[in-house]
Amino acid sequence: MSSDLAIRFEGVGKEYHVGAAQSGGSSSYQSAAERLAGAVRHPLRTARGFVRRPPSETFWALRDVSFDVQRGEVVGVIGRNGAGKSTLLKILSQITRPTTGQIAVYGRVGSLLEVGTGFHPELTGRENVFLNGSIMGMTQREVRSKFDEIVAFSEVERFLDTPVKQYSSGMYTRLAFAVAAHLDPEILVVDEVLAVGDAEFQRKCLGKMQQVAGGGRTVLFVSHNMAAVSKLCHSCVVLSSGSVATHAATEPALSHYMAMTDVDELGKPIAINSPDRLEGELSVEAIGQDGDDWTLELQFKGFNRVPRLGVGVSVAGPDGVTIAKWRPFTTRLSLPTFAGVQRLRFTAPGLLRVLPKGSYTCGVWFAETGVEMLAEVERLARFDAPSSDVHATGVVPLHGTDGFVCTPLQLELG
Amino acid sequence: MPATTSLNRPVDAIRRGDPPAPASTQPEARYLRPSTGWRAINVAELWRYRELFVIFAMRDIKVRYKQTVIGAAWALIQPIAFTVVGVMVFGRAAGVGTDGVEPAFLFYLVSQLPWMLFNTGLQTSSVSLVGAQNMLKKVFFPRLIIPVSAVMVTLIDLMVQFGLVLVVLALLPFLPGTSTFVPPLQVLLLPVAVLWTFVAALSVGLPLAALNVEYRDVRYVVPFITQFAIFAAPVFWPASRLPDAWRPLYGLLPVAGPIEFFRWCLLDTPAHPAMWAVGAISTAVCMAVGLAYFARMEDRFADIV
Repeated sequence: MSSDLAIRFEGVGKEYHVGAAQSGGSSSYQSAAERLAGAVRHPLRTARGFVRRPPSETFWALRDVSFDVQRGEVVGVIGRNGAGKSTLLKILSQITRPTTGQIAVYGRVGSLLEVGTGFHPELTGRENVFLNGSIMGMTQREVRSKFDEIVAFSEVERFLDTPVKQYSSGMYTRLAFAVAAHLDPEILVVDEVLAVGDAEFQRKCLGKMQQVAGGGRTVLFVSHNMAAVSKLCHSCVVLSSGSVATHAATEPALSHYMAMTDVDELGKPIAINSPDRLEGELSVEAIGQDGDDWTLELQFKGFNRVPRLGVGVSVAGPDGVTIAKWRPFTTRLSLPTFAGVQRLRFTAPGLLRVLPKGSYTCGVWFAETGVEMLAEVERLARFDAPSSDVHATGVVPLHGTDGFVCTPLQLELG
Repeated sequence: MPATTSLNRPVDAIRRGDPPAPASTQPEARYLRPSTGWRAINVAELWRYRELFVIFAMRDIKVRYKQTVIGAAWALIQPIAFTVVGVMVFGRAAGVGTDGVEPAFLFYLVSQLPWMLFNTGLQTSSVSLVGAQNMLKKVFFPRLIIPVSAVMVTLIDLMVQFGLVLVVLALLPFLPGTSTFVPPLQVLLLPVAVLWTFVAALSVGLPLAALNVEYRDVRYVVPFITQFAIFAAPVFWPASRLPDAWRPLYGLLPVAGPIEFFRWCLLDTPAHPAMWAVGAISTAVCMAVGLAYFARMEDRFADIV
């Protein structure tokens, strides 16, 4: 065994049961009455079920995942929605157990799957710092000794004795992240938490993460933010359908991820699952062009009602760098309250005229009233920007080589 | 470098010019493995997280009476109301007796204390896990802390109610026809009575809390249990009214023993050692079964809640 091993995954698998009740959407448990009704309809099957659990539909969120993380290494975990990233972190954080295999962990794990877990709206900022700190595994003494630092980082000094229900969502997030940022574990596990907050705050979080990573701490970092991953991580594990597709240094891993031909086929439904908040299925009906206009047609099947569900679209280049992002916060585009099937057609007039030639991917995301992100699907579909001879020279600008945007350029001498 | 399956380290380390990892002492390995079914409660882990018991209890206490007008006085409304019902219905109308406790309202008032500790503790602990489902899915700590701290909250109510009892006892000499209250020697055992009631509430609340994670029917079962228990338990009547032969058997009812024991401690009502013994054993067995079931289910909470 290596002396500087931090985490070793050995054949880790996680199986989930998908009951009939679950596919219906919001209810993930069966009441005794439902079981009773089932018993009346299928007496024999139920009788057998008492002896042995009835065969239910299962799926493997993770399958035979093995890799090592060395001490002091900062590892990015990337993959599409449903690739098993969150499950991996949940098992590592001891929230749930693997179905097969084992993980050997050397050192204290601090995990940050969400900021502000356990925050109570009625309690003041000060009280919540202590509460949240303890929930995440700090002792009261540790919280007390870091309290001033936490408060300074959060920039909410003036409101420390105000109940957090009166905080703006930005203040709330800042305070919550501040507590989390002062966890001091040997191994830090971070889920997509940088997606919240404004740009300034995200930059600050990233800085803090960099500081942690630079301090010789072992970090496992899940993110959709490719720029953050390539900045922070030494190496990356690419997950695909629950298995490790690649485990390599960041740059090759990222390019492998980008090249992976797992952009969904048109019409194939993608599950959107943000538990208790948004559940549904998304499928791409068509993606294409209408002159210079770029269009994306989707079908969204919502299983639960979310009032004024904000929708956004993003376009990324072949290297995964986001080129355009229409955030619901700025566009104010939202769906009316509904549960059921709805067809969405996005049009970005003139987009194709300004995109250099290349292969692009687009993604969709959902947010609640434009503030909090509920779900994001990256690399939802691929499209090609046609060669557009904007300069009328026969030489077509290429993505990357000629930048991200192309427009005609005129020269006047005077 | 010893044989590990890490593909990237050498390349990556060279590329970035990382210094070799310091050769400090390797921490002990911890293994995260599939659930083994029936297992023991991890006491060392509970001890490491001991502060969290108090922190959760304090949170609930702080939150409980926020934005209420009379605050903690709410803890007194129910025992006072039930004492009135006891005096009117069970004392005057039914005449079931008070084990010789004079004045009668003292019997009913004191009975409310262990009853409410049990009742409220059972109710809050049984819904505690589902109420904390977001935490169950996002962060690790021993799950046992949630239902236990839920029962701990009711101890605060008990203290407030105990204050009321003390005031009543102090005022007794001023009531016509009553004399100064002299506590019996066994009043020193009162903490044991409280502890027993606490464990009794938990022994029922714990398995119900675990069951509630999978079957929300528990929500509907608990009010039924407590409505049934308020009459089945010796809250408004003394167990000495039962035939002597039945009384030990009656001790099987989880809340019966603690209430009788509590009253004996404070009011010197007749002692029922056989019934208490049966009750203590039944509480211990219930608790052991409850803990075992909880430990078995604990690993799956995050998946099924």
